[in-house]
Amino acid sequence: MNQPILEIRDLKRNFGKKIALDGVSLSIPTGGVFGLIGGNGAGKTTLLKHTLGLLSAQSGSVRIFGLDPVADPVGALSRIGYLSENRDLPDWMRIHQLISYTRAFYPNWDPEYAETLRRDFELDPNAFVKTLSRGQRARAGLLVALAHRPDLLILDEPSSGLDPVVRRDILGAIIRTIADEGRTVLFSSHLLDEVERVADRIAILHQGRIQLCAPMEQVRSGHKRVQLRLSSSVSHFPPGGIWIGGEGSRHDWSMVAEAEIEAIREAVSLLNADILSIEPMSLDDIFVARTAGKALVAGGKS
Amino acid sequence: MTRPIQSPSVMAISRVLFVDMIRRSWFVLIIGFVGAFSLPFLILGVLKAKGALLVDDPAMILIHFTFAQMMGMCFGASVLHAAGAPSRLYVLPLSNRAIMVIQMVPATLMVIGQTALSIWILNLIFGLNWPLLGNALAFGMIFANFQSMMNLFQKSLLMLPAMILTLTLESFWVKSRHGPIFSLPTQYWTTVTLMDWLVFAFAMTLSYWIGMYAIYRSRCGNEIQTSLIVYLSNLIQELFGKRTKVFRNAGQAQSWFEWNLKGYVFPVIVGMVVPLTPLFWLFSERKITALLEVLRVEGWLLSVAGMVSGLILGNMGLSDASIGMGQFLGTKPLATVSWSRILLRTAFQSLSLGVLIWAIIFSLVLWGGKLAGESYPAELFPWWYFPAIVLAAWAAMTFALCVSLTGRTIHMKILGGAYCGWLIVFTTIGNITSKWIAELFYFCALSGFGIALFLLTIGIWGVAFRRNMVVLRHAIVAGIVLTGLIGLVGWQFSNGLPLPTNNHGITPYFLLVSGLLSMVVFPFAAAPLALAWNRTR
Repeated sequence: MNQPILEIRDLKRNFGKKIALDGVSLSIPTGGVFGLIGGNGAGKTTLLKHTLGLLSAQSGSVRIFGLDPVADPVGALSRIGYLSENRDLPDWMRIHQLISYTRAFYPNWDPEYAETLRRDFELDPNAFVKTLSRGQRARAGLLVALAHRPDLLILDEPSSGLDPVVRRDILGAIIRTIADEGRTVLFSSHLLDEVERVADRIAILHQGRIQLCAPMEQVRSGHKRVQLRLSSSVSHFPPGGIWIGGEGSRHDWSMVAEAEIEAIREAVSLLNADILSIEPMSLDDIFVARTAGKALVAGGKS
Repeated sequence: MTRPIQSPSVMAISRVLFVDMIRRSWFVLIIGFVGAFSLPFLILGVLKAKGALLVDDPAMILIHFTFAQMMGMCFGASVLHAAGAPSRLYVLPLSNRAIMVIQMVPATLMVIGQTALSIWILNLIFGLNWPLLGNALAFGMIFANFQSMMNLFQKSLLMLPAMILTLTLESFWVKSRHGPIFSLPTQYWTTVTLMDWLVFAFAMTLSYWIGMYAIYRSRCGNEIQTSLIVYLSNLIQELFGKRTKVFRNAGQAQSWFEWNLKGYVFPVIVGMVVPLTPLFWLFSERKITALLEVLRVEGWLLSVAGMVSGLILGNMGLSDASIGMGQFLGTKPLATVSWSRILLRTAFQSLSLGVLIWAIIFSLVLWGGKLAGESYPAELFPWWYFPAIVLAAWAAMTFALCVSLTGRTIHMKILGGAYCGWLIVFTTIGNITSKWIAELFYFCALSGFGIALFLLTIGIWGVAFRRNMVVLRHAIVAGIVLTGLIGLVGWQFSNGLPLPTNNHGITPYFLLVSGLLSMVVFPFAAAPLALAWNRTR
């Protein structure tokens, strides 16, 4: 196991009465692509802001490269590339000014790479940032986040504003490239298909808490959708055990299990039920089961 | 049977938007109203307290003329801010005509109402007999013109000459209602004639149609029409903007950023206002000494421009409304202390350039006066005048910068509220209590304010020192500078500075000025703290 590039321990954050982060602990190893997924308002951006030192921990700790980003912003931020969700680039700058300005902050800036990216992204160096389309703006933000070849690239909802072709080609290629060079990418998204495509590890954040944190393969192989028929009719599926969500009524239930096949068979036999099918699940289904499934188990079909 | 959809009337929408405007901007409007009202109230209050308020004195006409303009401009600015850009209404099912009416009518009526109300209150309190209607209508008209021009020319370079031309013409006309155009005001505008009403009607109609055209054009997404000035501006941008600047380090890049975005504000304000002084001087008796006197007052007013510029300079947000630091800047690997020094250096450069503009114009006038054989009273410009206006402007600018730098608008609101409350108490205490209590109050208030500022500075330095944002060497230098300045003030006070006299002597004034002087070194500790607080929330 690599040394963690980011170590978060029992991080709590409230905004007034609203709990944004409720004791989050997370360790991200060096190298690879880490996907942080969660619905709107789950706390993803808040968590990323803590890693950048834009928010200070009310309790708990954040260490990035072993540094406190609030106490040592230069040490931490000079090794990070960041693309924010709202792409708040200065409208009054031209692209070449934006590149030149950003370059001054990073000793490792690679001007040739920056120029390659600029050409690939089809950005006119004399265009003002305010005249860029949403997609172009995201590309400009990506350019200045990437061109100093950061040890850690943090992308907050990188896909919003990019059309599907650009999303697939640019984002996928960049994320893989960075990861292949031994660098780390941390990106948040609620578009789960792209997370599934590129992430090596994921964490599901729901209502300010980490619901799951594991390698992508383990997440996929560890969750199954089980169609089963109970011998007796029930209005509520018996809670607990390997079942983390599902729906159904009376005899027929479609349940989500977090277990290997043998454990599933054992659990089903204890219920005196028949297995109709066991299917692998998409990350989308796993996410829904993880974040909404418990209510369905308790409440029956909704 | 399907009932046809009834669209709400313009009146109903206008009413909703008006209520919304009040709800959103009540604080700005109150500040505008109190701000507009406070200086006339303060000065008239002082005159009354000194027994120098002579209602029938011809000099009161000039005071009335000046105050009416100041009140109209001050409140008009806050109404302009509250009304906002018409573009926010473009997505509503409203015709261009309706948008124009909604945008112009309530705001204009507010300006007319405020001017009339303020004059009426001043009349009531100070027993004046200033006429209400003429100036109130005139400032409503000027406001409507100004608003339409802003919509038409937006932020283009054309806006400035257009505004100057319009305001100059209107100023000539308003001045003509107070006597000959090129002299001091000689009469009150007591009667609004039929011709005056026709001028109002013409100007308002013109504003309406100009505004309509501006809305029509920008609602279609059309750029403003290119003029020679815009063409030249584009040409300059093409020639010089394309050059890629290479920065040696992050500090240099950030200095460039701060200057290009905000640093020029102070010199631009000074460069716009001070050169107009000789123009407006044409309206008066045209004596060089009078012009010098105005420039002398403008020297003190540099601190007001400095305060406005400081608020802008400390804004690390994406817009005027959002002053919290954005993520683009917040994630730049630049140490907070270095960054705050860059900001202070930008403030210093900005201040230096603005003061230089003022000083050049002042010197030219002085030189012109000497050539014309007119001498000025030397006591108006004692040795400490120039350092004092520079230090005052620096302190005002950097204090405002630090307040804005916290990234929290609540601090501006608290300061604005405290200022208004303080002003009201300060100006009314003499009228509502006995002289002895009032003098005790002034003694405690002036001394207390000075001591509070001094303690605030020491406290901020202590916190910054504890957080390693300043070191002992900085503290020693700041202490020496402050001690030197206070020593100079003490020496000057003991050598007879002309001050208002009371039973308590010069002590409260000395404490007040010492406290104010501590604001000169205040920002060196406060700026990094404020920036850190803004950067990490």
